[in-house]
Amino acid sequence: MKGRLEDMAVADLIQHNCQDRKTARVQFKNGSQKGELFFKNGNVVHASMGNLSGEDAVYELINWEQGTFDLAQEVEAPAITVTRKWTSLLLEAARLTDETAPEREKQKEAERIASLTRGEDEKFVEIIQEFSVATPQQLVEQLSKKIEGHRITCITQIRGGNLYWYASSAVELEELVEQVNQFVKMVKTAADRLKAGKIQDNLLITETDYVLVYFLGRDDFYLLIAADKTRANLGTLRHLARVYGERMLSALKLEGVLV
Amino acid sequence: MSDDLKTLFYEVRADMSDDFIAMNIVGQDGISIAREAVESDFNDQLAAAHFAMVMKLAERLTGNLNMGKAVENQFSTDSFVALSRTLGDGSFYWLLVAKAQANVGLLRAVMDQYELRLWGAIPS
Repeated sequence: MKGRLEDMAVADLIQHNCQDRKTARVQFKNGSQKGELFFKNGNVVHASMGNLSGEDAVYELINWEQGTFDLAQEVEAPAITVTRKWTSLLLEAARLTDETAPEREKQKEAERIASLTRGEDEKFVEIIQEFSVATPQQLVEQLSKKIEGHRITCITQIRGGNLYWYASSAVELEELVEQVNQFVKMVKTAADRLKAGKIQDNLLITETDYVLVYFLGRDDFYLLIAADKTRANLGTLRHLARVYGERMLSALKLEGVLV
Repeated sequence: MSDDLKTLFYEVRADMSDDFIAMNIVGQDGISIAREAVESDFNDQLAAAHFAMVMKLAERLTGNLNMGKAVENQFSTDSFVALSRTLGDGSFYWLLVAKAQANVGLLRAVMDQYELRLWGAIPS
């Protein structure tokens, strides 16, 4: 099915596909911009738009007022980047639209300035973007894309709740984090009883995977990375966890998640 | 501790630097059947018991998540690094503890070199 966003808004497409519990892909095009949404069992499970993915991409796509869409049934998502229920997604999108409306003009100006540099020195711009102040979610995604055989990256807290995450393959995130949380609690207990000092990390190696838990400056927040053992390099994995762990700690403090 | 294990422990110790703190062969019940430790405040038997529990939970976790068997766990703090590895059929674990500044790559290489021989030396 094909159509125009002027006739059917992105939010309406989300509502229809979720209510009908469709498994489908919707591709959007607006000039040179492209985006995709994937649905499975009545929820949005993956979204991408430009460099964005996950909820950020959903919230951007929802603001598109013109362009075209192309819906294909029974297409599976290549990754799971959205876990929030579709109703909650639409509510959050509405809230963000209200909140950011005055910012849109500023954003357009920023895009215009960015377009001036395009073609001049794109590599330089990419480097600047990578090392400029990034949000925890952006850091999670940057880190994930640097890991060969990446499965999942997640910033989580031991008391429960995934704060930021990115999955490269279909993973039952809630189950994974719940199980790893239990494991981390046991490791912490061992450390406490042994008066082991400050915990830095714990790496579990299985027949197929590396599961690295890197503590973010304190022992109740951690970065979880799972990667395919046959493709990932262990040294690189630990190095990236250290480098990005420091940056995530700063970003979490900036966002007020960590004091 | 059997003579075979004593000999192997001596060899492992000789292959390691001054970073060595302790090593234990521990059963799933958390009780060590062989141990070697430097004089320090580190309670190696308590560590062996705890890390046996950690490894058992790791096996359950990896089974539930279809990640294959848990084969090794590396735990690092600012005072030590502890490597636990499953031996043989999984009925025993080898715990190797070294100072925080130890070369983990070297510790793993030592474990690779001796794990089969240690498994073979466990009294049956």
